[in-house]
Amino acid sequence: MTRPPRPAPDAVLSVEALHVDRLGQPVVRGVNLAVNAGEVTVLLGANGMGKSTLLDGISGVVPSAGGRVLLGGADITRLSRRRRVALGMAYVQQGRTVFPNLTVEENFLVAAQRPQRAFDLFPELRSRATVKAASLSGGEQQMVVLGRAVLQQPRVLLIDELSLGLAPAIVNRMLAAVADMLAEGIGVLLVEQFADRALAFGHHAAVLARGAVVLQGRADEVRSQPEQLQAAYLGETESTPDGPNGATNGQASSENKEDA
Amino acid sequence: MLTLVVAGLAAGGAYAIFGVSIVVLHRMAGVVNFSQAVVGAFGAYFAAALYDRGWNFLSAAAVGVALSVAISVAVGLLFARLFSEADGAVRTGAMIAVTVGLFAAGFRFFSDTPRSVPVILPGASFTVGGVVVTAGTIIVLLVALATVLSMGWVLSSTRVGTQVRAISELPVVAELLGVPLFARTALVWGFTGLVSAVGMIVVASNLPGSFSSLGFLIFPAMAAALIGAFRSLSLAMVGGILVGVVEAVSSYRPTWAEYRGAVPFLIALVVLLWTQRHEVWDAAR
Amino acid sequence: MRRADHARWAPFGMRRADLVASTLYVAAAVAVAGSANPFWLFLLTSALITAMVAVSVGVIYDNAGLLSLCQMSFAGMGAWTVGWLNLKTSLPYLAMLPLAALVSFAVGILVGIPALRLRGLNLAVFTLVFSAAVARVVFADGFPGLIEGNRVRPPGFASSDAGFFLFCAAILGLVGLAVAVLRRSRTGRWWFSVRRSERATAAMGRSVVRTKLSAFAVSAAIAGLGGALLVALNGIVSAASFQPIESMTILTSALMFGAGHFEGALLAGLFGRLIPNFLSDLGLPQDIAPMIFAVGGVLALSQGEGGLSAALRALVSRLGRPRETPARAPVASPLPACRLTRLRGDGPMLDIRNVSVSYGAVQALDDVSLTVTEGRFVGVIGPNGAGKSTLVDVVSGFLRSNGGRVVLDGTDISSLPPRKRARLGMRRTFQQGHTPRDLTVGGYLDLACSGTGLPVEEAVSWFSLPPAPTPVAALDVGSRRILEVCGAVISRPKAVLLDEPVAGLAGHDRKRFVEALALVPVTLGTAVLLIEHDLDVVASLCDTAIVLDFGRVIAAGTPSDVLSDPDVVAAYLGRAS
Repeated sequence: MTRPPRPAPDAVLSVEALHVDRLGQPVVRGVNLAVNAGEVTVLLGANGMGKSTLLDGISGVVPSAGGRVLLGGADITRLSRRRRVALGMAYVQQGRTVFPNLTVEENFLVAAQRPQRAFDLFPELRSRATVKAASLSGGEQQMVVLGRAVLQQPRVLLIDELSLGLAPAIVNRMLAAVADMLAEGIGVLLVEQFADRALAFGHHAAVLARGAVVLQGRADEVRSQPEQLQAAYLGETESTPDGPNGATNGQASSENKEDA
Repeated sequence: MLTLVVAGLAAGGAYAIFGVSIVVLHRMAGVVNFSQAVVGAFGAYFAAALYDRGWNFLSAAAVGVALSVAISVAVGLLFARLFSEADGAVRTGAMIAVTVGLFAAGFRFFSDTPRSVPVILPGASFTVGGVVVTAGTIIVLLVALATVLSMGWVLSSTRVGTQVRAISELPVVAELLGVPLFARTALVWGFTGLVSAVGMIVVASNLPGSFSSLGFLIFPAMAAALIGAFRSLSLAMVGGILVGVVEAVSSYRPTWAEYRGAVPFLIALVVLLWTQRHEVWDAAR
Repeated sequence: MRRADHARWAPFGMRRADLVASTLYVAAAVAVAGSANPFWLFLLTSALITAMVAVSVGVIYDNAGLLSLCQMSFAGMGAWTVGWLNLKTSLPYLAMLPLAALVSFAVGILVGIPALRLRGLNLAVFTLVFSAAVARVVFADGFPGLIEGNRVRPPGFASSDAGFFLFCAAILGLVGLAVAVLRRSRTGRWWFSVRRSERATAAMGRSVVRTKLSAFAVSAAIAGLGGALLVALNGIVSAASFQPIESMTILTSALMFGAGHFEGALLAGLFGRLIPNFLSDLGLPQDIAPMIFAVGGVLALSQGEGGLSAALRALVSRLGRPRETPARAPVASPLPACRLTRLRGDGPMLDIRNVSVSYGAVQALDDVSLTVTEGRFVGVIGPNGAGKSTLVDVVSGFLRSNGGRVVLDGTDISSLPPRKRARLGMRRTFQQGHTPRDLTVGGYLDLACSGTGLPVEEAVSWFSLPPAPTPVAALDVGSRRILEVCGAVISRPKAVLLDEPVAGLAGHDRKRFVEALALVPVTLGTAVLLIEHDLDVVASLCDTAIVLDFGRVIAAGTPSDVLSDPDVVAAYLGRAS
């Protein structure tokens, strides 16, 4: 069911046949992806399927083992993390990576001289400006991380597990903030383990299984193929590591997952 | 007795300067710099050599300080390049190797015979309560205090300081936020090199000794840093002064004086037994 | 049967490689003794003595992972003891040697006790300050016999230069052999375990403190022996040989050459003495030798652990034979019924009552209670960050809960440290694999069950692991995880906590592993608490599933009931509901 990525003339980020290894093991194997300005591409998949490693490869946290990453048409595959950042890439890593012993305001200062825009995005943080990030709630910490990202004035924002351990109401608040960023023309690549909400929010979607894209298309299209999604998402494919595309055994436990 | 305490203040101030530098570097770069005192000794000895050749004190001192800064920055960049993702034992091991190399280089260039270092404000002293306090003692203590205050200010109140703290907590995240890792690293190492050199020039004019005896000021300085739990600048300063004073007071009785060299160890022992009294697990889950 | 198995992968005697190496070593020593002139004999003898101290660094740093900066102080203790005995008694030199080692051993324990809880940085600083204190207080007054001019003499049969060289070579060889054997023994394997993870060591029921202390004391004794030989070589020694900087220098050359293997220690000794000599032959100053070691040490460390000797060994094994992927044992045959030790009962084996944990403002666990019955699986599921791993830490003793109790088979274990819980039959595995890569599969399993569990061969075939002699380093991440689970299970614990055992396993491997896991409760009567992301695995193994969300139990029941609960669907699958 895999289709090649739509040719996207307005793609702010394109990933072409990207391979990334971790500890000498291939984890991401030949992924193609695109993110358009002002739109969200959702990256789905069960745990351990290579979603975080893919983002690490795109951002340069882990060097890629093959393929290309284009930011606004320019090849950034060989650039350092900092060069990529300077060219407009921001990366929100998994697990609320606040600097714990810095205050909220100091966390923002690391990214930019003036933290105003972050406080505009999350006015609820104003009263917490001088509190150490370590003593914030999980939701507030995630706000700090997103706020830092917006201060970087990126063209594309990679977000790994926005909803990790957060209550649904807080997740909605985060998604609202991301929507604000989209309105400014930022392209977002959002990794999620919760398929339903992410597909409702995103414009495009790709499902990763064993490091390869097994399902890709417009978010509503992916949503309208529950069997494919379920099979890919549960990772119950019996395929060989080299060619996992699409092959499924289709008999994953049916009492629990998506039936949307 | 009071004379001894005042004498201890001079040495204690020196320990404090290096102890504080060690703490700064550990907090900001995650490395325990066993060569903190040697790096300073390079600057002090180089300054003394220039002074002997007829340079005036200030320009000799400036060049000496610059040498220490350069060595410190070089070591820092080496660590940032090779060991930025290594675990603690590897970094500590590498630091020991670097220290051994620096000691050897120091012996090579300066030999290990004691030499005189220009005395700042020779002869200046005053008397408090019947005890003579030399200007050198006051200067050492002032340098220690200035180090704590200036470092504290830079780290807490400037954006560069904030970025440096961010690097020390999560280097990759800081880099992803656009913080220039190498430049900031060089800054921290350069600053501690500067403090060590200034401190060592002051100390050496106060407590003359051989290159190795200056380099070995690292032992009491480590005890001072330990008192600060490698975190607190002000506790490390107090710790350094405490070690100096206890050492001096221990020569009050000839029988105690024999054990003077064990003072840093005994203090470290007590501090560690206290701070490590609870079971603590290694970091990795 | 068991003994024979044991002998195959962890012999307490010698291996063939040991025999070859020993023969070469003896031949080289005899050849040198027969041909070298007194100058070279002296130089090489002192190289052997330096190598002895390097061996002690290998034990403490390369095996146990502890950074000690006072090895030359231990050597000095040995030298001091021999000097004192020589001055005060008429004991023969041969009798002084073990006494010197014993004194250093004792000092090692004395220094070790306060340093027990220290690791890494604190230990390095502590030992550094200790070595400075010893140098200034004990050694500075001069060694016994120094003033009196009372020279220590080697035993009569070793009084010639060549004789004493051979004597040192023999002692170094014996020590090297003893250390090699010790490394493969349980004691030595625990050192490797504590080096890789203190948590995993404690979770296997072993005292971390005892393990570190034994490494410290053994290493001190070896260094002491080196010091005792040094006095006999020189007749009289001075404090200059035992300064802190000497300890740092020998550590540096040990890092460079990789003293964790005997040949690395030998090279460290040889080059430590020969390089200065070569330098002066070249008309260069000798004192740049430490700079060479410094550069070499830094380079070696930046290339990964093990130094030159590890790199050489890797090269030899690559040249020797192509590294084939270790063959897996044949698919497990059903286990014999006689292994059924405990009948499946209905008694609660693991009872967790009202456990709470908070980190700052985050409530990681909120009044969690659950019970695992003997011989059953209970699955714990929930989204990332729901508190599952925190639960494992609390139950296994690595985290203290605020209130609540953990009861294992009727015994309240809430206040016990992890190793005591493990000894009472409460085992766990870790999400991050913690199997020490320096061991073999069999060596690890033997540690994990401490010789009380299933025979290793049987365990290997049950979990389809590679054969027992396979090094752990040759296993992929997934197989290491299976190995860790296997180790925890075959110790026949009353209860075991498996923290995401299936993560990262795919396809056939995963299927086989899940089948092997399914046999655990019925075969051993163990109560299994299974933390798992994979809902299929939970559904296929567990009678009961418990769902955690924000640290609270939000549902419990059969997996199918729980997974159709709308609250669970909302929490776990993130439906906006």
